[in-house]
Amino acid sequence: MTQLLNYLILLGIIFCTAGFIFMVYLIKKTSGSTIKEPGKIKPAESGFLPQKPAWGRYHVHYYAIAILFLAFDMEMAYMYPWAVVYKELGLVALLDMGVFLMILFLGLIYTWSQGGLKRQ
Amino acid sequence: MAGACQGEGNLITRFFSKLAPPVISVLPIPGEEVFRSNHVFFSDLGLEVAANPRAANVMIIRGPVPVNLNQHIIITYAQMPRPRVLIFDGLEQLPGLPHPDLKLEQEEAGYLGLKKTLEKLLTHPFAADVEPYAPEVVIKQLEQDQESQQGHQHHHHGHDHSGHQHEHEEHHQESDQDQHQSEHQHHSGRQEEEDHDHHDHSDHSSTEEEEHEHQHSGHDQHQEHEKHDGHDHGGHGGGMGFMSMVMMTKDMPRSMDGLPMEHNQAHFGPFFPGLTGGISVQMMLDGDTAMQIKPELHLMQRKNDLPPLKDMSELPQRLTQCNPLCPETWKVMGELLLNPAHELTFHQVQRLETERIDAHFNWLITFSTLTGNQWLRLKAEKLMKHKNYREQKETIRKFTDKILKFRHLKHKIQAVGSVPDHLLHHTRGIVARAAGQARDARIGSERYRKLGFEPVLGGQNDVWGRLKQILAEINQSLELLRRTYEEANQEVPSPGPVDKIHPAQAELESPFGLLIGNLEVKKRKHYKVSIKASSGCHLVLAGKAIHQLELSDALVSLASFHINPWEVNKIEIKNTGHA
Repeated sequence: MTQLLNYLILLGIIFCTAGFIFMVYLIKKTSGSTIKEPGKIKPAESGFLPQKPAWGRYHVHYYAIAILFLAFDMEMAYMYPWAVVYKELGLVALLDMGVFLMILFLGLIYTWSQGGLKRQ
Repeated sequence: MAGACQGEGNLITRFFSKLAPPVISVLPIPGEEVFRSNHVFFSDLGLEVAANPRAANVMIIRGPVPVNLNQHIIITYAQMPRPRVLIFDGLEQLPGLPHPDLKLEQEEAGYLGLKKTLEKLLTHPFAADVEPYAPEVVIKQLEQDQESQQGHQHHHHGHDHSGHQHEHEEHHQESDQDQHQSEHQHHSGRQEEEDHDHHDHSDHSSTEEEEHEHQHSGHDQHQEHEKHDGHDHGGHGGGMGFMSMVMMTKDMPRSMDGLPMEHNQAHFGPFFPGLTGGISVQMMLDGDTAMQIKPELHLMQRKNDLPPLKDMSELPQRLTQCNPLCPETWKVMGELLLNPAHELTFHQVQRLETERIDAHFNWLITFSTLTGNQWLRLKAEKLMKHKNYREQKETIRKFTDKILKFRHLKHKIQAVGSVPDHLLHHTRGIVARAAGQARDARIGSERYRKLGFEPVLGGQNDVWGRLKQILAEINQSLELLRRTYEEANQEVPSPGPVDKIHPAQAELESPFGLLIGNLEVKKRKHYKVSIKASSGCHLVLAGKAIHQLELSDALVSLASFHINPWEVNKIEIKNTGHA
């Protein structure tokens, strides 16, 4: 019986949601209709109509920084399990993580020295 | 209302529209600067300024509007969502646009009740019979696009290449035309230099190099398109099933790091809120890098919309209508041309310097919009609204000092947008003086000499240098205003209109650079007045200075040239010859 009641509540929610959506649709329908106009199908470009679609193979000049961010951001994933056992392991855990972060930091400095943080 | 929504509305929509009044977002045409220079501030009226037509529900057009701008206004209006209100200020009709919902008469008073009127219009936005707005210019371009797409598809199936080729041919013609115009402007800038500076041009190799470089920029683009074209054609050559990425991209244009990438085209202006309304450039973008900048010099050209003068004494008044961004300076130019024997008066100096401060504040507001500095915008707007600059001299000085302490802004805009050294001799106004070149028409004026005027010179040929120059010149103009105040009160009124008109030439230092006026006597009672300025040359130079810059740097650099779009083209006015 309880299970049936739960299903009934769920059904009620579905009906209410559908009813609300239908009401919104009705309000929209009675208030006015959309007019199709040629100027609106093109993106706005300071008073010009763009001649070609912007869909193209364009250069993302900051791609190296984005990739580096992803690489260094992944280190956070290792810090979650470390944080769980940190209290248990104490100073050893802190030192272990310190060494790990230092290696990553050296990697960052190496990237910097090679010009990897410059806009390509 | 011509821009009403289709339908009749109902109780619910009426209820909601009364509950929450609509946010009124205005799109000022040709730009907010024109309204500000006439002391119309939308923030005072409770109206927002829209960043683009998609976010606007009101378009206010202030006349006069150059003929070539008309089709861009039509396109912009067509891209606004309904309900949209159209307002003309000082205009009767514009071909291609519907009848305006409101007409204003270029008076500040007309704007006072504007918000309430607009709220009234926008809370009842429905009409039963609404015709879709389908202007010819939009339909024509859409048809062209469709044709070129069909051509492209056919070409992909190996049948027909005409549509695509047609598009490329058109583009080449267009780019050639623009190139020709920019070359012409470049030459006129050099002519101006030769005529008025007595500058030593012994170093011809540099100017030839400039021309060579100038012409080559067009060719590069030409080749680029051919390469691009080649890529498209090559992609399916021989009907092979597989083609490696290396083969597919072998003919594509290369970025600076050698990667094969497509270049996109985008227009900034004439209605781009970060640039003075009317300035327009076409950028060739490699991702977010501006590879090539082509100024659209023809947009603000005025020919047939300037009717001949009936009486030559109307000249100063007519000139005010030619340049809404610095009408007083142009008026003074008209007065000088009609009275060539007379020196500038102290009253005229006052008008010139007040307008210089106005124009610099106006520029600061647009510049702060572009750089996203809200504090700077609000403060500059507040100072500009006050009008009486003499009273707030100290406040302005503190304001300019504070801007110079913006370390982040300095870091961002210094060493950006430098004019190449071999082109520096073409510069005028704040661009030249910021780079340490003492070019100022005020040096030659007797009246300015009496006031102890000496040009302020910077030493930084970049955006930060130009910002510093503008701030320094605001303070200098304030000081000149203080010095002229007592002199102007004792001055004998300026001479009235003269009976006989003689050929005359006059030079003035406008807030945007050098202004040269010329009055020619063609034959008996037939006169021709022409005014040319350095803004056109600066627009071409800006294209050189912002080559291969990141887009935001490119736009900030372009803005820093302090270009007046109304001065980009030479203006010519004739008279009817009857008076």
